[in-house]
Amino acid sequence: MTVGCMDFGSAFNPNLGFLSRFNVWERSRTFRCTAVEVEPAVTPLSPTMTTTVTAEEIRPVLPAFKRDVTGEADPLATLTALAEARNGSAFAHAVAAMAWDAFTPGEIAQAVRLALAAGAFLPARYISAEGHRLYPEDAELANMARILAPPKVLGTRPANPSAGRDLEWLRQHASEYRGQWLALKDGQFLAAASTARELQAALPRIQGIFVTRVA
Amino acid sequence: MLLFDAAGDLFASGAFPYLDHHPNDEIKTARIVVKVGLGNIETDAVVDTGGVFFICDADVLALSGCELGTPLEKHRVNTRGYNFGGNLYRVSITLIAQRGESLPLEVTVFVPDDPWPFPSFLGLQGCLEFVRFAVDPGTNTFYFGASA
Repeated sequence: MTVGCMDFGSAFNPNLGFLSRFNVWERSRTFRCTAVEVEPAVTPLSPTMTTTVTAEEIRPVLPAFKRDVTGEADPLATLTALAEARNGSAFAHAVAAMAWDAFTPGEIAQAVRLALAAGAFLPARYISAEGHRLYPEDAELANMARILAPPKVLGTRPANPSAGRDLEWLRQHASEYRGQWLALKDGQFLAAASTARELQAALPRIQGIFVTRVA
Repeated sequence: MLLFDAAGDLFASGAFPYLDHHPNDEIKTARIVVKVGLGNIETDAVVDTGGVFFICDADVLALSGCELGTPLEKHRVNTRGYNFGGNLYRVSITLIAQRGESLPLEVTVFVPDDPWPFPSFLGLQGCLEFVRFAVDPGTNTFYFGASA
């Protein structure tokens, strides 16, 4: 669980539970949004006030966000509205306030898709990781968590002292091959074709070949 | 010459002489074009710190022979003013060095449904986010290495 900085300048934050139904303004657009209805556990803030909420302050409020008290037929209604509005900032705040152990694997998978639709890529990673932690046997959540996991460095490999030659050839000759797929090796032209499949057919082997398409 | 930090420790373990515009771009917009290894092949890619994921055309991936596995389907990416639908996969790529050491990475790749009209992109989130990198525009050198 993470806690973010309150940002009324961009959207809403349901963490403190003092808003139920309200309008959200984002980049000159106004849309109606449904939030969960909970007891106001923390004194409401002025809409112009920005503050940081600590984990200790927010933790007592979190259980109220379990799906059984939302009063919504669709427990993902808030996230759906924010995804439709492509409001990644507000989406991230909402995700941080969710108690994901109250959701089914299918709902969590849907929340990941909503996060991606909202452009909230880090929340998508977070939700998928949480879902996989909560439901390690669920194949879809495992696949989502694997695909969205942070990038990993896999060690090192030797450099190639002639690695720059292919791009240098491309810089000098690309304009002669507009619309073509090209194959090069160590700065030497190997083949050109109008499709990737034709290019592959023109090469005895593809291993280690530099391939690009000249637009 | 690779890069070292103030304590004398290696900052970047690899270096590559990048192109400062993509050959496809007739108006020569400033870019950092590097070379990546992808499965069986190598290809060009533009460093795009404002972007997300590694974005790669489906035909390039098919040539690479990469095993992609089950996708995270029907994602949309907004880039360069266009909205593209496609799938997300996990794939291994290598930032190729001409000096030092090349850097293999496991990253998230976005594969558009339709032919991708741009070069491949190396976005920050999901791709370069834990890679150290630096650019010397005086020598067109892209330095990179694993984050400590």
